[in-house]
Amino acid sequence: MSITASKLSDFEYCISLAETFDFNCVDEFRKTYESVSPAQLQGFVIDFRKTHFMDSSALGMLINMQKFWEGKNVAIRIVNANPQVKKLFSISRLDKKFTIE
Amino acid sequence: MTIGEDVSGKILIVDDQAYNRELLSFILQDNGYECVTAVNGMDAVSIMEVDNSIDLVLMDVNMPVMDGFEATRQIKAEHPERYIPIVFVTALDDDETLAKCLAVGGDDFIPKPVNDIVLLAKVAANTRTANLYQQLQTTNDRLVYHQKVMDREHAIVEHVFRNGMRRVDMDCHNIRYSITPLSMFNGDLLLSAPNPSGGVYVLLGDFTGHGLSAAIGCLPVSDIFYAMTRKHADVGEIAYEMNIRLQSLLPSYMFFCAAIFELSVNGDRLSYWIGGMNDVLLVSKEGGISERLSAQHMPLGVLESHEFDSSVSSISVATGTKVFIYTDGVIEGQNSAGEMFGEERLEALFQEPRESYVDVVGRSVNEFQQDQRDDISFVELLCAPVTHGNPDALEAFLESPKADVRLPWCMSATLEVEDIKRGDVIGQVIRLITNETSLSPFNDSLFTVLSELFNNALDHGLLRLDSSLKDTQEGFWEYYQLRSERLAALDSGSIDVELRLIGKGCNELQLTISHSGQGLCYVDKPVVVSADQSYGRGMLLVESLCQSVEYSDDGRTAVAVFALRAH
Repeated sequence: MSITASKLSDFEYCISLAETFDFNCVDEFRKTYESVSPAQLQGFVIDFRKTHFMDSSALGMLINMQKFWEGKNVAIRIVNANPQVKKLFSISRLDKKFTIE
Repeated sequence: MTIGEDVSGKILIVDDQAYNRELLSFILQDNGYECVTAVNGMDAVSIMEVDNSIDLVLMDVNMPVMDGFEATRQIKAEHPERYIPIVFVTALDDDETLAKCLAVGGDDFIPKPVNDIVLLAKVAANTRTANLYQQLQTTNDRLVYHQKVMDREHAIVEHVFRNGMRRVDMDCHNIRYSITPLSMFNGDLLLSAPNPSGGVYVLLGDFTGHGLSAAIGCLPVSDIFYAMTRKHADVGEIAYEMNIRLQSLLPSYMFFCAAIFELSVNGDRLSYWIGGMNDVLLVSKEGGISERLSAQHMPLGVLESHEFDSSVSSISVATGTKVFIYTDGVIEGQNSAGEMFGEERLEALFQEPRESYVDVVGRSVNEFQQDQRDDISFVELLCAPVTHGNPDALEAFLESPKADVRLPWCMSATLEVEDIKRGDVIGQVIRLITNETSLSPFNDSLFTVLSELFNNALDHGLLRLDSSLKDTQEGFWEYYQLRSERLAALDSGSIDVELRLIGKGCNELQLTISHSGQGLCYVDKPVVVSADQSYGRGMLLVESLCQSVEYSDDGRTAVAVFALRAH
């Protein structure tokens, strides 16, 4: 398993990504965020601490995740992204759609 | 003297009367002493100059050429480094003469006529004193020698420590601290480093004891700290690595209490691992302690790896909150009544709102305690957007450009169907080029560019997939499902990948990817991608990251040039 989910509190989940976050993760990533039960859930923290290698499908996966939780009052925050990864977010304007710390 | 006492020594007998010299020599030689004689004071001084094995001098007072007083003064003056007892042998017994004997440096008297028992007793007693003095001198010399060796070793170790710790980044504006070591070496350790996403790491720890023995663990700990923070490790992983190293390095009675914190770049999220430290205090912007973070773990260096708990706690913090971390020395300082400074006195200092508490804590502890008994260290971390004092240093830390010595190499591979099916092609290419350390700062972006070009060639060229399938959420999954089905069924085709260093100083990497499938027309790619569209950003990424991208052979070949310099 390259993606792990852990409960930060009753309201918040953390999804930690591996070194590579590309199209090979499509299924695993989707299953991870869909398996969280929405009761009480207020937000996700997606931890990019270990992530170096991304392709454009990673951006698609994040957008789909947001669509999935849309209207359910769930905030998605992206944390610990390194400058090169952040650059991909800003080139693709994803920094306008997500809270990126 | 007890009869039969083992005596030895070389005695200089100074007398102008041959009879007296012979009498004294006779008695002394008969009792195991070696004797030399001098006929007057001048003669005695000359003998003392050349013979440094003489242990004691028997000195007459009245002699021609130079009397006993002057000879004694000169001998004592010329041999300050040795204690040579000078015993006057004199028939004069007036107080004035005896006082003068002592005043010029004499140590004792023997009355004339000489009684052999008194002579032997006095010689033995004075020789004993001289021997004691000699032993003391030898011991002292040895101590001085060891002191010098130790000073030198301390100087060397201090040099090593200074260089070992030089990389400490204390330029972060969010960090204020005070460190007061008890001795030259500090058993307390404060480390800080930026994290690759712009936040900051802080470690404050306390080794058992103080001085050099406590400080010895600082080097491996700081090495691990800097290596791991560069890799963007979380604080639990850092603690885990330190524990392994210290566990194998330190004797069992030594360990390292530590608090390791990471503050996010926005300054609103703290993650921490605390082992065996005092409660870490969170002080709110308005003053007052808003929260106490207790140690969740044992100190480092105690537990075996399989017992070690590297779990990290993480909390959100309000902007302006100050995190106050301190070592035992702060609260254990004692006043003249033997009272400790204590947590209560410390925590009272945080009631008032202040820009920083470092000065007031330092002052209060200093005024309270009578004399310092332990290393005293504390650090304050301000929870606010993280700013680093020296952005160039941060840049250097993140980029660490290696010596600019690239060779104009070229790497190419023709990937046949079975190679393509194996997957992780781009991952392998990236691992290959990581040997070229001057490229490593660009690895992350290069992966993206290569992935996009390669996947375009594979998905659209060989597998004939249509991106518009990704229009719906379900379509997105279907696309990748279809992709793996078609890839499994693929029976012909190949993709060529070439990486070539070009340009002046090889400062550009030219990436060429071509495939044997049907031509594509990339000019038709969607120009505007709507904000929630889940595809179509690939070429946007490539074009933004590269300085040029060109297609030829009806879109079968893509050539992108990536600039190897700060973007």
